Amino acid sequence: MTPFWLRATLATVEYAVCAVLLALGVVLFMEAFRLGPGWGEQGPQPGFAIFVLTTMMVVGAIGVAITNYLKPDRRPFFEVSQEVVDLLKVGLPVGVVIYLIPWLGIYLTAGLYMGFFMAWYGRFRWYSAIAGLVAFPLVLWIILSKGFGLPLPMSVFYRQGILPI
Amino acid sequence: MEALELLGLGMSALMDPSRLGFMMLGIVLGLLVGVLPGVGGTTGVAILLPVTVFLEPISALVMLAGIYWGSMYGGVITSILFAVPGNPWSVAVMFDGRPMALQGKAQFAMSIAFVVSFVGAMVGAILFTFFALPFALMALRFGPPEMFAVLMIAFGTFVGLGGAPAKALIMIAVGFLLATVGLDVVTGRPRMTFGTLELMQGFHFVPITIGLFGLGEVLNNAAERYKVQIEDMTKAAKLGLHDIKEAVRLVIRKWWLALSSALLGFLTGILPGAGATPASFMAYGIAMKTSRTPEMFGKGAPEGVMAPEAANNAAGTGSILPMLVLGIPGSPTAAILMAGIFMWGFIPGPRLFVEQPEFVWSFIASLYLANVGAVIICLTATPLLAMMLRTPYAIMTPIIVMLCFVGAYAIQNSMLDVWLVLIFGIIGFILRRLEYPLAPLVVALVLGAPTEAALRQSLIMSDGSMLIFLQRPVSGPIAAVASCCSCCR
Repeated sequence: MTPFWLRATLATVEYAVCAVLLALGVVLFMEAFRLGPGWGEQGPQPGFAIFVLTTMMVVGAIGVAITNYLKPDRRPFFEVSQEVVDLLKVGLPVGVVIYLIPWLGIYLTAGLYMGFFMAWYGRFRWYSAIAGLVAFPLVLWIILSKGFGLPLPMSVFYRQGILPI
Repeated sequence: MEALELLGLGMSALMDPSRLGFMMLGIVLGLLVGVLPGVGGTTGVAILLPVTVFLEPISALVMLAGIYWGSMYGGVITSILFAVPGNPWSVAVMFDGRPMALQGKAQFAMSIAFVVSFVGAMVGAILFTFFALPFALMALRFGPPEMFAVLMIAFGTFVGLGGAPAKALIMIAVGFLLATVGLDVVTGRPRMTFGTLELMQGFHFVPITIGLFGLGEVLNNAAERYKVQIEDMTKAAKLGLHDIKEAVRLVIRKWWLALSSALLGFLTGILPGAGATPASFMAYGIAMKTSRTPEMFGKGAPEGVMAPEAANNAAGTGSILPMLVLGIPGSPTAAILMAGIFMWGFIPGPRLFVEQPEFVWSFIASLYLANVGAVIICLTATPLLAMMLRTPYAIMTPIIVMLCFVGAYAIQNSMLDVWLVLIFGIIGFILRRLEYPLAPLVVALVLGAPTEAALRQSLIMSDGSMLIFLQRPVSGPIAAVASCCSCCR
């Protein structure tokens, strides 16, 4: 049986995007009315721009939905299952990296990410992956922290005085 | 003729080997800060300002100028190679530079960018040398109504920028809406913050741009690796001097585009609060509007690289002009340079030209020499830079992703910006597949806040009357040009 992600067409995803935009439109209209969507004595009120722009967005979304209904694009959003696999193999580590940054800081995370990705995705030999794991954060640290003094997130080990990064 | 003599005085002051050395050091440092997303020329100049206290004033000023110019050139490198703009003014060059890189023409795109940057900077420097005072006085006549009219030109040029009209409308509206998040510019009331403290500062456009283009591109490439592998594309491309020669020929052939974009950039650059970023967008939009093949824009048109680069480098020169001539900084970098001038015991303004001609004209001379140095260094390094795209995918992906995160975090030291990169990366991936044009969103996001502020300040000045835009001598004609730009396709 074809997996559900391969059955989704561009038209289906287009409808989903329009639905999200319309739902967002409702929230934004409420915000515009809270702030004042009209014209005061000295020009537009704080909600005026939001009101006009949300109207533009909603009109555009309705236009796209109508076009999609009249001429639906039946091509699949993902052509083959390999696309989804490749996307997840790259995308999931990116999500994990963001989650790790507050704990391990930017440099340790960068090293682990490089080492892991080289070994797992690139199938580099273990010693090459370890070289990447060490070299990448070191170069980043020398340039960004030592060179330009950028205040980037540091690890819990840095906060406890165990590591310099 | 007097200007030429004084320029000669400045040039002779710069012929001192130690001063030339500091200038070249500044260029190299500037290239580095320009390449690193999130650092940028302004931060680079600010970080290195204290170091220059120990130098004699002329060496210090030309070193800072070198950093500034280096960063103007460096910003395009990551924009073209990885779709991660090194500077805000390098966003527009990415629209066509990155597609060129994906077609295996990274070296050609970078060569065009460097050559035309040099042309833009030289046009700016010549105008600076001979017409500094009239331009500075013209800038003083620009109030909120004039600024609004100028910004409307930028928007007008982007009407009909690729994609279906309804999709372009959505993208402009969404970009503008994102720009309205935060405190209201006039009343100070929180808008669209939904009670969240983090949203009070609003969305900076850099993390969103990095997400949409940088990470969005990473995800798109990942999904398409089963049919296209970028390192194979770039391995097929020949590296060498051929692309540099071609780039020079192209710039000569399209000299009118380079010159007009540079003039536009210079004029925008001298306006306080405008600067290089709107100039680059405006030049891109006008180049597309006037092109015989507008449908090629966004798909790797060399003109799409030429126009914004010529404009932003000329704007970079222009933004320094009001600071030096009148003591009014036109951009954040000019403000930091001005702080340096104060630090060395001088006061920027007309009297500085009379009392310290060697100092002032050394700086103006450095506009010429630093750009010559920067373009030579950049063109020499172009094949090497293009080779970076041949790096194995498993090494390049972590580098690009981490550059995206560093660039986003460094803007406001906020993890929210890092999350924004991921969120907009996913949104960018989906929108790209559905053929939504991403450029109008970025333009609206960048120019949205200043446009709304200028509109509302103007209307406060006129007690709510829209006629203010037509009645003033400068804003009226500019508003008419903006209307033409919106109507013509």
